[in-house]
Amino acid sequence: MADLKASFTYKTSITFRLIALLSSLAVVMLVPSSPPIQIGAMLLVWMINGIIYNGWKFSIAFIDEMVSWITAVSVSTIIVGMVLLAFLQVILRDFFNTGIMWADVVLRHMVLWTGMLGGVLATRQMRHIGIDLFPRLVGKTLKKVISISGNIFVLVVAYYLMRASASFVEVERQFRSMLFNDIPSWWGEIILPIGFGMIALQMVLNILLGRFKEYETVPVREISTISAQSGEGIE
Amino acid sequence: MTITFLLLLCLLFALAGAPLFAVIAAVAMLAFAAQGFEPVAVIIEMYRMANNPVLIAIPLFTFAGYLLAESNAPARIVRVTRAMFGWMPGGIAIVALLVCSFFTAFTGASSVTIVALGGLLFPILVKENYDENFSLGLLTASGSLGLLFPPSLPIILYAVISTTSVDQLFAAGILPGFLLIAGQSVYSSWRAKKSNVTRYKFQWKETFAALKAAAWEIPLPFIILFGIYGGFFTASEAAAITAGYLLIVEVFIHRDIHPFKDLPRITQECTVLLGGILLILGASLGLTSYLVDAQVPQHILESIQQIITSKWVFLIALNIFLLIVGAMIDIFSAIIVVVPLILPIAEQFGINPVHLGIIFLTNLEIGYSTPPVGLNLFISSFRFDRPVLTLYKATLPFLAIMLGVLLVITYWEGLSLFLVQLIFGGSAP
Repeated sequence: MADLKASFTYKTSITFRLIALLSSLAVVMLVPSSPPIQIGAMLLVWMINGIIYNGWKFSIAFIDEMVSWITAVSVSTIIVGMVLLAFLQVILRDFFNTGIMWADVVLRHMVLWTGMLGGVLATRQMRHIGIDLFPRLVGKTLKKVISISGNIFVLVVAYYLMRASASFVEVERQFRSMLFNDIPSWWGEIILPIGFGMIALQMVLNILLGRFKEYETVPVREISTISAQSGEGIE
Repeated sequence: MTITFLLLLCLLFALAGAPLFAVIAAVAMLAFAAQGFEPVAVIIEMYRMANNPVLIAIPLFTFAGYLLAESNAPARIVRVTRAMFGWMPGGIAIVALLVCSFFTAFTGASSVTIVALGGLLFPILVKENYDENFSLGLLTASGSLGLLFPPSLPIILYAVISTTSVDQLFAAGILPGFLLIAGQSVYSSWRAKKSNVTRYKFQWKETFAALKAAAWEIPLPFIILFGIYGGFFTASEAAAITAGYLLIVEVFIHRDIHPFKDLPRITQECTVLLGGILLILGASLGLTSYLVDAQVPQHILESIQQIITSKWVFLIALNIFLLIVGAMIDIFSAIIVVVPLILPIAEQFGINPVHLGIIFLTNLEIGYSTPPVGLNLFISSFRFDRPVLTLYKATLPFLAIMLGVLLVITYWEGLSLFLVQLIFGGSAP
């Protein structure tokens, strides 16, 4: 599927995306206000960047690029960091009888972060796990209706999950519980509202960009983009 | 009233293929709301994901599996297995079975096996005179073979959900896993004899060369098995060692994977899978806590006990139910959603939770290749460019063998528990 490949490539250069990110962060710093307004300001800056880059039509598409780029970079860092930290911890523990005191707590939270951010990527690529037997059997129009209503459904659920987890984090903040040392618990938990918020945002972007799950008779989307080895044997 | 309506709506969305994590989370929030609880109850349960020490094995092993599949390890491992077992009657077919099992154990049957190995093994099989339909069926059915071997993802997931020991489940899967391979191997040898395939002599020189080429990958299963059962480390630590080791080997020693060109793509590809699984897991932690509070498993048990009274009848019913589930839903959501409901019921019928895990996974493994919607059939159809109907027919003999082995696994508890008792001692875990 062309869309899968497209999810790894971006139209803009890394430099341009970095500039957009830094300028949006600067704006957020300048407008210290409630999170919804800050997020709105951030998205607006990206939109303006997109318009500057390639005209009005690119405004939404650029937000989409930024969201997916930030997710992808964070998730790659977290995964590689998780592997290295876990490896180091085992080596230290089993061979040197020491260990990093905070490593286990951080590693367990990295799993949560991987899951949430992976969920955002899966939302963009429309590769969430679902029972897609029936949608594959129906006609073309009905397929489209199913896809669109499915997107809206996820958007609504993710929105409620975001609100619930934001209040969860707020309570934890007030209780001042600690993860370890003087690191507060909510630093690890903040990914829940962020993740669900990003899933909701990604769904809005998907709807605006007309990106829908295509239920093909053959579930090509299940196949990863793993570069299949060449068809030749190994003589 | 509104809540009942909304629950029905969720069910409709589930059947219409909406992402299961959203469906489950919505049902959980609605169920809690009906009891007068805020939706934050679901989030509190979901956050338990960050308190589970076993769970980290899932991302680490998945990443390790993707590293293996994306490097040239498939070619190296095929070469070794071929040099060592190619001389046997049906040698190449057995090679295919073994290599596919090895890869499935590491990649967790996420369609990677057929995609990564199919193109490598299919031409070899056909060239050596194996019947084309036989080869297709073999590779399709092998796409999930090896699911019972450590460190397969579904086993870890089952352990997390059922709070059974991963180490015991790893041990329990080994003999049933080999029985499945043995069943397929005997059939393959017989077919090989019939279609007069080329046979090789065993060559020391090639064996040594092949072993040398794959010297870095061969220790992997042994590190995991001896590490865990020698008491050196836990399953999560084994995952950390495997992932760290493979990262160093494939990126810096073999240099098959470029740290900047390939690695970000591989991490993204594996997080999409992880995100899918972990979100469903988190959402159903919320739902399960509600179901347990509401004593739903007990109610199901009571109604089942009115129809089924014997353990054996229950096992037959369980097999049929799981085969249908396995053909309809992917293995990860099947485990996450069904296990919490079935486990307490099975325990009432006196079924060991470790044995239940093996029954569960074998059923779901078969479900992968069961018409009309088994995922392997579609992936093979795409990978080998054959109509799905051809694959239905080609896979049938292999399905029959697997079903036979399933019966043995289900009704012979000792096969699964023998190694567990040998390693961990005691009469029953």
